[in-house]
Amino acid sequence: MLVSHLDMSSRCPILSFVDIKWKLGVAMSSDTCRSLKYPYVTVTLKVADPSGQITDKSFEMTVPQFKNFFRQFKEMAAVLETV
Amino acid sequence: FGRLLKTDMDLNQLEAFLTAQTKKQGGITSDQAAVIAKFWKNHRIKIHESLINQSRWDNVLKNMNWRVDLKSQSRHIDQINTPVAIVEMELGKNGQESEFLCLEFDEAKVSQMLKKLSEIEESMTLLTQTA
Repeated sequence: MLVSHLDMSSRCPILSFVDIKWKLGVAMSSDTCRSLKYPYVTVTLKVADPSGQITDKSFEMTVPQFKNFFRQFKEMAAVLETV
Repeated sequence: FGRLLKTDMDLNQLEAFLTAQTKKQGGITSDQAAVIAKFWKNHRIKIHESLINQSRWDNVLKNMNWRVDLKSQSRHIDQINTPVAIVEMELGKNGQESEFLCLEFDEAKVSQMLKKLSEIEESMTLLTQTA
């Protein structure tokens, strides 16, 4: 039985979430701009493949991207509760 | 413009800078200064965003989709149905092909995630408060 929220076919093998590490930083300046001053969060997800092997996947998010990310997980929690 | 981009001047700094330029020999006229000021005011945010993007060369989260499945696990004669969330994240670096990451979360894992995300949000709020 499938409860599909979005029509989404799996483009990749499904791994399971193990843990998340995070780091919040502020980019102050760069070679192209001396005054950047934007906060961003770097997240590392620990994921396990079906055989149990663990890998790290890292990526960055700006503040608005993070807020959207957080909001989506809250929605997920709400749906999981009602199913 | 090079100078404006490098320092990302705010409007006060801009006025001071342009006034100085009009006073210089071989500098700009006050009409030219007005045009530059108007342009900068209108485009500064877009330009700033573009500069920010140029400095993000590690993996960024480009897109995210998710759905909830009901997973059937046959333990005994009765089937146990557990809801799981399947999340597809599109990760990539600037100008490079995306990598898709598909993850499965049960309710406990989503809770774990939410707890950590709350920590991040708390830190972000503190950061913007003290800025």
